[in-house]
Amino acid sequence: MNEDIYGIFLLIVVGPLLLAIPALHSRVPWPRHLAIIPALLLIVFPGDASLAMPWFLFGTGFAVDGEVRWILVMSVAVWLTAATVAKSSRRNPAYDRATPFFLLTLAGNLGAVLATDLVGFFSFSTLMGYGFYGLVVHAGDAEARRAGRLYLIFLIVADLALFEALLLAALTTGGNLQYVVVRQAMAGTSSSQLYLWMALAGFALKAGIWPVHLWLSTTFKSAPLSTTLLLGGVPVAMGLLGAVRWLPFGEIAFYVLGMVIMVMGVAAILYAVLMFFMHAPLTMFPVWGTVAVTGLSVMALGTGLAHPAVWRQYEYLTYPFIASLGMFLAALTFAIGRLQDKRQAPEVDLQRVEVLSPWGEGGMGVIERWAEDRLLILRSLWRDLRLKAVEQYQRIFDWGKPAVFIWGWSATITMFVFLGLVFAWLAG
Amino acid sequence: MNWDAWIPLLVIASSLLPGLIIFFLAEDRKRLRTTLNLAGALVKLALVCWMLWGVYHEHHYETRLTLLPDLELVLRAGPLSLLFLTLSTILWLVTTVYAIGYLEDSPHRSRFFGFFSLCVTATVGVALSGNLITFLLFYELLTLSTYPLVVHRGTEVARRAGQSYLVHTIFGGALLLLGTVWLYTLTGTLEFTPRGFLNDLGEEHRPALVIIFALLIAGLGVKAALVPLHGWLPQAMVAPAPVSALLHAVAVVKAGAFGIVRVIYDVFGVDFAAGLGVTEPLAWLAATTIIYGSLRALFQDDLKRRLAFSTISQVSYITLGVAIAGPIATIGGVVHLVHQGLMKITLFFCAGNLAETLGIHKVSEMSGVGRRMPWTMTAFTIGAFGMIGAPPVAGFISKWYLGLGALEAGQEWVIFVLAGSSLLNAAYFLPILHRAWFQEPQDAWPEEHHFGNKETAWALLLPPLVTALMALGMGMLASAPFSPLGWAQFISQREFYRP
Amino acid sequence: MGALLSEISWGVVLILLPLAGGIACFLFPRAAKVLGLVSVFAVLLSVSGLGWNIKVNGIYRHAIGGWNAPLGIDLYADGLSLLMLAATALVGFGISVYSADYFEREDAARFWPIWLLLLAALNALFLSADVFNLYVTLELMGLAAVALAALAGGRDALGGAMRYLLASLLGSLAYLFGVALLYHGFGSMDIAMLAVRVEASPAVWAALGLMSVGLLLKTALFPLHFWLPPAHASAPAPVSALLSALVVKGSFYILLRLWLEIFGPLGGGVDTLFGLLGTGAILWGSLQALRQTRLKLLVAYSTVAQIGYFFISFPLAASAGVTAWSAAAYLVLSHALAKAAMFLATGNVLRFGGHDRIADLDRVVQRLPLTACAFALAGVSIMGLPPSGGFVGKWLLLQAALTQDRWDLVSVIILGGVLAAGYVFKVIGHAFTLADISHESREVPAKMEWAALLLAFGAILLGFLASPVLSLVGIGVPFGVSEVSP
Repeated sequence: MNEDIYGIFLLIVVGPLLLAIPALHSRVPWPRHLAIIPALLLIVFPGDASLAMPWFLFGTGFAVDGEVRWILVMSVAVWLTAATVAKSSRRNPAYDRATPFFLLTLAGNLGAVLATDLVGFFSFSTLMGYGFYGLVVHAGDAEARRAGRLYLIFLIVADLALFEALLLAALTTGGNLQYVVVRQAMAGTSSSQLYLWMALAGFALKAGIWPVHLWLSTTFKSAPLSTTLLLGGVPVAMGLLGAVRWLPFGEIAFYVLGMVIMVMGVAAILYAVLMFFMHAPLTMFPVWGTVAVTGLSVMALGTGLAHPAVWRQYEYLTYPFIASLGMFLAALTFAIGRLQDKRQAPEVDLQRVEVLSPWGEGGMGVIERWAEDRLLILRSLWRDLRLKAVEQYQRIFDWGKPAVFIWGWSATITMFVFLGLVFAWLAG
Repeated sequence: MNWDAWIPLLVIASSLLPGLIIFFLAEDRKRLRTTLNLAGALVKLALVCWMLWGVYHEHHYETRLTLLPDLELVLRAGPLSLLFLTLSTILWLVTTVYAIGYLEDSPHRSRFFGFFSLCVTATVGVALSGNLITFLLFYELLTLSTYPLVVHRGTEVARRAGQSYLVHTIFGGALLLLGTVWLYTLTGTLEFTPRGFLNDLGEEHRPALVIIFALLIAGLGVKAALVPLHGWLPQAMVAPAPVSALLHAVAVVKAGAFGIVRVIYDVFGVDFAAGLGVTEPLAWLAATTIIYGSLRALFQDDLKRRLAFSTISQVSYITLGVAIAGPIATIGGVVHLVHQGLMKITLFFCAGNLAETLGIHKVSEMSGVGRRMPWTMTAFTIGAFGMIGAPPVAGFISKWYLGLGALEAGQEWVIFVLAGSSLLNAAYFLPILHRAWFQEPQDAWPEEHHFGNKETAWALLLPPLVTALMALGMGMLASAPFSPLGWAQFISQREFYRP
Repeated sequence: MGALLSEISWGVVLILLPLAGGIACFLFPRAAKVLGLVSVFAVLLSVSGLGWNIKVNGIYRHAIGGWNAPLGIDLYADGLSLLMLAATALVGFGISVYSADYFEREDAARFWPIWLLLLAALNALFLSADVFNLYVTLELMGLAAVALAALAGGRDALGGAMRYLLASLLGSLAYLFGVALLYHGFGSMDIAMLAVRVEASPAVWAALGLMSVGLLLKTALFPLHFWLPPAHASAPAPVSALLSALVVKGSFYILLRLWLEIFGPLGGGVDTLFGLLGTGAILWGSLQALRQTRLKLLVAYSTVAQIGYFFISFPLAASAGVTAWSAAAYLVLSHALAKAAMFLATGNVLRFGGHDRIADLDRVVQRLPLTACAFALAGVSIMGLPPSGGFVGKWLLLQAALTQDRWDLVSVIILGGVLAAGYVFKVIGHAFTLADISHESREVPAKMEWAALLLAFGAILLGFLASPVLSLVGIGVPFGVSEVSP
């Protein structure tokens, strides 16, 4: 194992945490991007690596292997996008105030991805949860606060449930809480049923799975794009990842619970589709998309519980699936959010557009002003280009609504076909 | 005589002597007073570290002085003593720094610091007591030396708070005295013994022992603020912030909790107590207190009052841990002694900072204070999350061991108490945090003082940051050697459950 | 040196020295202060001489003029006597230092001779071995005490002193009748001889009743305490201290002696009666103390309550003799120190602020930190909180009560402590409340503050000296050996 990589491991989590200190990140250019760099380094670092941290909590560690790298790539991509979006949309005056929470959430998320045992995962996902709360409410209006409160309640209840699950696991294994050990140990004990329920409930709450998705929709409605972008890749994906890591899928067969969960997944998809066609505005599309996609994952989990053999067969797909899910949701949110942004853009005058410039920050701003002063022609040209772009975006949006509508229907039909196939295959 | 025999006495003297000298200093001898205070605290810290090392290597530190014909005043440094001793020593140092900053230019400082040192002396004595009568002695000394601190402000409210404090503690002291004498007449010894000294007592004494247990716990429960004996604690928060901090974190409340640990483990012996059937009612009482304190805290607008009710709730974790009477839960209870101390002292320091810098006393005035005093509120946030039990702050470790211990002992109901308490803790701490960090500040603070470009004075800012960092570190580095958790496991192995 | 020390008859010295000092003070009023202080200090030294003597040689006996018991005057001192003598000398010395600054020229000239006379009487009382001598010393002590109580002049003081005189004479008279009955019945006044000869008979019961009532009256045990509060409240502070700390102890000592040697073995339920009265005293005195609005009366009623504790040990002594009596002895000693300190502190307050209204004390106590500290430390001992002499006493008392399952007494002892805490803190609470109004004040000499503080500190220190003190008291086995140690 390479010794140098230890530093990177630690830096991935400690870096964002340190940068979260206002005195530090206000002195550094591009602090949000800077914090992601160690993780980026780890992705490009070839081969598996691990770092044992016996001194942390009850002893934990970080590890990266082929599976984790999927999730890591997704996370880094989502975070980078979010960091860039946040930086470019400076309409939000609370940008600076949000930075610490952004970085805390980042540290929590990356830590949870890399953690090798239950306690580490639990700790980092708690950090992530509370940081995310900060991101949700930092805008400060009443609706954001309401959404934040809702999220917080879900988060606390989820953490309590997971804590109990953790205790049960610790009691069974005698303190060793490595994923593998726990999965094997929980498969063979009498308390496994309670453990399953607790862990499933906890992660369902965390991932916003139907019917406990309430916080997801309210958050989506109130938070800025840079935050909603993270929804799919951070809380939702982490919730699913947690479920996969904690629960002894493939080890035990629990037919009834598996079927119940599967039915819930189907119900979630139906509900999402229904909501979408009933009265949801286009902007809420990512929410229902999320609910539907998580419903899909829940179905998979249910299947895994009911038919361990199937799970074992397709187990290798779980991590890529979660990664692509997070990526997909982030892309969806980003696209819709961008469209929406642009549609609203003409309301602001040209001066405003100027400020919206992605270069209008820090040192770049100076250069831009310099350029504006010296090169008047270029400046007017730039302005025209921006205006044109805005018009274009608006056109896409006007046209986009029916397009998405069609896309939605086709996706739904595809999904149902897929569902039918799965059921048919399971039955046969 | 062996040099080791004098170290416990020296530890006592290292705060007693400065305290006595300080009484006679003039108000304006600020530098000398500060030097004396800090020198005493540092000497004590050095001695304690020395003993920590020694005890870990099986050295014995014991001072014996004759008190009554058959009773001795025993100061002994065992692992459990040292846990509490180290906590009080470190927090004394920190609180002294804080108090120096807090009481800048206020009247009666010599008196304050004198009693402050006496209070610490009494706490240290409680920690080092090697038998029940020594414990009783320092326990009462603690009552007496804290009273002047509670009424230090000299207002009518303070006087009434002091009165309430006295009524409770004197009453508790009387019960404790009664229980102690009774026990002595039955056994003829009061020496704290690992796994208790009552095992040889005949069957016919069991009813008497149950009553004695109740008397002792009632006497200690007054200070540990067990419901329904908690009435004094919320009132006592009129005291200056350093006093509240010390009161809630180490001195009074902890002395009570520590006493309960002593009674269960070193007087009765945990197995014997469980056999008597007294631990389960105690566990229920503690559970009631935990929930009751949290519920009351929900409805307090006064910040310090809310913290006081939170203390009532949190300190009972310790009682709960030892009353569950299993080895793992014990670790949780004992380690919470330290963890709660650090977290609560942080919170009180921060509350004091808010009051001193901005004149904020109520939760409803705290809107946006995180922007004005980010460091203070960061420390507060860490403390609050610790109280909720969020990882990786120290509170998580305590809760972990309590929960695990309860499961192991087959007392699942405790889990619900813990979960309920966490929920309530979140319900009364998170709104504060939300208000402080995410709401817009009001136009003007109630009473703002400026400290250059800093958010507040250094002496006020450093202590909460240090304690918050320690609370965080003790959680994160729980598995490191010499962490409180490691020490609690060491205690459990060596004193409570050695075969 | 050692030989010389043991050859001197310290008992005689202890009686003659203060007498001579008193006469000298009377003759040279200008030098009264110095002479008085020197004599009291000499008494203190003599007591330590006697103590050393007793420690080495055991019980001290001296026949004055070489005449032995039935006819002559015997001096006798065992551990108990020594304890009383030591308490008297210590407290007396403290009060003397205080008085040296308290009394102005003219008052001083009157105070010192009477006080030294009182000291002589007390010493003689503690050294007497026969009931008649005890009477004489009792009478002397009473008269000197009354004279002291009247020292302040004014209506209140004279009224209080008159009541005191009446009670004192009545008490002595009752005692004298008892003595007469005993002498008539058994032909001896020597305690040791009486102890051998006495057996239950109506005459003995009558003697017991008369002597007890007389002594209880002088000791001011509830409900015969009526004279004490006014007398103490109106007297000058050092005198109150003397009366409360020492004079009541004199009569109690006689009662204790008679009980231990003569009446104790008779039984007959008198001890239960004493216990009941003691209980009443504790409760009534404490409650009255709680009700007072004047500091001095509060302290006086506290004395009433504390006297009750001494009597609690009578019913307990039946089966836990040594523990119960040790408790009583220890309580007597620590009460002497603590109560003297309290009265002296009160005197300081009174002199400084010109009043002793508890509600207005904040303006005074805050400016006298040492006095407040003295009052608080004395209060600790009175409350029976550790570490203090009062605690040791109560601990032993509780222990004795618990071994006999006397729950009534246990609860009274505990309750008395709690009530005591109530009235002590009623005063202390004012030391910390704000005082913004400046006050017309009179300087209090440092010596007066320190005298009070050191006495109080002595009461605290006793909490650590239980072992040596109790072993000294045990010399000569005054309490018998009927002890089942737990």
